Amino acid sequence: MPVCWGMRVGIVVVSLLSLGGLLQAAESPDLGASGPLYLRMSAPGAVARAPAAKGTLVVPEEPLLPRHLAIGFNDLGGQLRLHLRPSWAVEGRFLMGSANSDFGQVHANVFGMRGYRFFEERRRFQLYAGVEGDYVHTSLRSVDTTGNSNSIATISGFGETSGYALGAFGGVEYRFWKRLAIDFDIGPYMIGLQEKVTHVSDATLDFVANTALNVYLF
Amino acid sequence: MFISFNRTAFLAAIAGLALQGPAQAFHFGIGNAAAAQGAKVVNKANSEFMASGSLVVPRIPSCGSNMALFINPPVTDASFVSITPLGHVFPPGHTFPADHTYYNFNASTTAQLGINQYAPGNGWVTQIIALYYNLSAPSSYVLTFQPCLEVKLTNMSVNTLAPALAHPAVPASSSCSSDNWGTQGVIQSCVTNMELPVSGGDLLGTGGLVDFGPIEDSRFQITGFINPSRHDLNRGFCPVNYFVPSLKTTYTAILGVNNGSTFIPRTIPPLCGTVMQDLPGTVQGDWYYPNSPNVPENPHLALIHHNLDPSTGTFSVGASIPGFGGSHDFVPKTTADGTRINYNFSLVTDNQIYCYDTLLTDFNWGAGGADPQLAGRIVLLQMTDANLDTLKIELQNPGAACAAAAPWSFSSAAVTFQR
Repeated sequence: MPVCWGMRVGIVVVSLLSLGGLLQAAESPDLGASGPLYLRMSAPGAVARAPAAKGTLVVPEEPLLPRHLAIGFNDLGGQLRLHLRPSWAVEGRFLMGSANSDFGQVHANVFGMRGYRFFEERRRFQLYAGVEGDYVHTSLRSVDTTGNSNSIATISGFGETSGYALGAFGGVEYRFWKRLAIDFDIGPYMIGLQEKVTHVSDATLDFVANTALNVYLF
Repeated sequence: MFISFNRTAFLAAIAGLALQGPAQAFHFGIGNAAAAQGAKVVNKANSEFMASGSLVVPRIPSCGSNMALFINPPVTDASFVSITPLGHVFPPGHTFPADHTYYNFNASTTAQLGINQYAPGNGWVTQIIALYYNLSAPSSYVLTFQPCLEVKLTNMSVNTLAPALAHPAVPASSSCSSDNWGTQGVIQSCVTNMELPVSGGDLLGTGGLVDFGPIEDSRFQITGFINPSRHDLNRGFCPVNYFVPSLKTTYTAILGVNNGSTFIPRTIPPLCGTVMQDLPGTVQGDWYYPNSPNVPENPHLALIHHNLDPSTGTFSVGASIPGFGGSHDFVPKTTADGTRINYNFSLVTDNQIYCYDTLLTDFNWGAGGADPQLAGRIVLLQMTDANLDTLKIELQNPGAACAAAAPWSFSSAAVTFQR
C-alpha cells in the first residue's frame, strides 16, 4: 500500500484531538460517570439550598483493579509488563517486523525492555511515558541476485545486521474491561545497525508508534 | 478550546495508524522500524561493496548507459586478421550457437605463442583461473576483465600472465579444485578472485589467445528464446559493440573467418552473428535432450543457420543421435514447394515429417562440399505435439535421397528432444 502522508497526518491529528478531548475531560470530572464520587465543600459565603451534610466525609475506595502483571499482544509480537508500584512498571518485549531491501525482504527481531511512568487513571484512560532499549537483529529472508554474479548478496552471511534501538515514548492506555486494555504510544527512536560481512553501519532517528492489547493477569 | 472526546474516533485513529505501511521516518511497530533500518544498511552495503567470488571488494562504478567501454585494441599483433562472429558451433561442446567470438590469426602455431593480449580499456581484472594439465605448473589462464560494474569480458585465455597479474598487489582469494571448466585434459584449476585495477593497453598475458568473449552485460537481456529459463540472458553480446567507434569500425570489417590468407566476411546482418536463433512456431532453434541439464551442451541439438553464412542451414548435433554427431550443413529451400524436403527450418511449422539429404561438411574454414560420410543417408524430423515443443529426429540410411526414400517413417532409433 503506498504511503499517504496526508492520510497519516490526518490520523495523527485526529489522535491528538482525541487525546486533547481526553485531557479536557480528565480535568473536568463528570459526576454522572461511573468513576469515584467527589464531594465538594461549599464555598465561603455561599447560600445553602439544602442542609449541609453532617458527619464524616466518606471517600469511596478506588475499585480494586488488577494492575500488577499484564501480558500484551499485537500482530508483531508480545510483551510482559510488571508494575513495581502503581505508577511505575517495567516491561520485557519481543517484536518482529519486515521491510523490503534491494535483495528482498528483511526480517527483524527486537528484544527489549521498557520503563513506564503511569499517571492517574481517569475515565478508563491512563497516560504514560517511558524509555525503551532494545537489541535488534535483522536478516535477509530471501535473496535475489538474478543476473548479478558480483552481487554482494552472493557472499555467505551477507544481510545479517545487529545493533540497538533506544527511544522515549508517550501514550495512553484505555481499559475496556477490568482485565483488558489497549495502549498506544509514539516517540522518537534511534536505531543503529551494523552489517555482519561488510561492517557497514548506519544509525537513524525515526518516529515509531506502538500499540498492544494488554491482559492484566492480577 | 473544548473538544468533546470521541472514543470511536480515537480507536479508529489507532486502527488507521496500525494499517499504515512503513514510511521514511515513521513506522508502526519497533519491529518494522528495525527491519526498515536493516534494509537501509543492507542497501548501503550493496552500494559500497560487491563480491568478487568469495571476496568482498569495493563496488566497481556503474557503466551507466555507456557502450564505448573498450578504448584499446586487445591484440596489436599484425597476424590478427579476423573475428569469428557469434553463433559458431562445434559439437558436442558447443552444440548451441556460441556466446562468444573468436580471434583468428594468420600465423603459425608457434608464432601465436608470442602474441600479447592487452586490457581493452580501463577497468579491473576480477578473476584469474589457472588451468593445470599436470600438477607441476598451470598451462594456461582464463581472465575476467570488468570495465565497469555491469559488464564483464570473460574467458580471455593466455598461456602466461603479465607480472602484475601473476603477483597482484591487491587482496586476492584463491581456491583450487578438480573442476576442468569444460577443458579436456585439465586435472586441476585454481580460481583467484581479486579487484586489480588495470589501464587500457596494459599487458594481461601472452600466448594461447582463442576466445574473444563472452560478454556479460547485466544491463540488457537477450530476448526471443522459446524457453528463456534455459539460458543466461545477460550473456552472449557482441564484444565489437563495446569498442569506441573507430575500433568498432575496424573490427566490424573483419567479422568473418580467415581461410589461410583469404578473408571470408559475414555479409548478412547482424554481422556479429547471434547466439539466439529460436523461431517460435517452427523447428528452428535450440532443442534439449530430455532430463539432461542445460549445460554441458553435449546431449542436445540445434537446428540453426551458419554463423558465417546464415543462408546455410546447420544441424548441430551433440551425442544423442546415433551416427549423426557433429555439425552438418545443407542448402535449404526458402519457399515451401510441397515436397517437405530440405526445407529451411523456419518453414517447418506443423506435425508432418520432413526430410533432409545432401548434407555438407561444415565450411568453417572454407566452402563445404558433400559430406562423404553421410552419402545415401537422410534425416527425418517431426514435431510431434500440438505445441510444437517436442521433436523426433532420426538419421536413416536408405541408400537413396529423400524423394526416393518416401514414404518416410521413424524407426525405434528415433530420438526425442524438447524445447
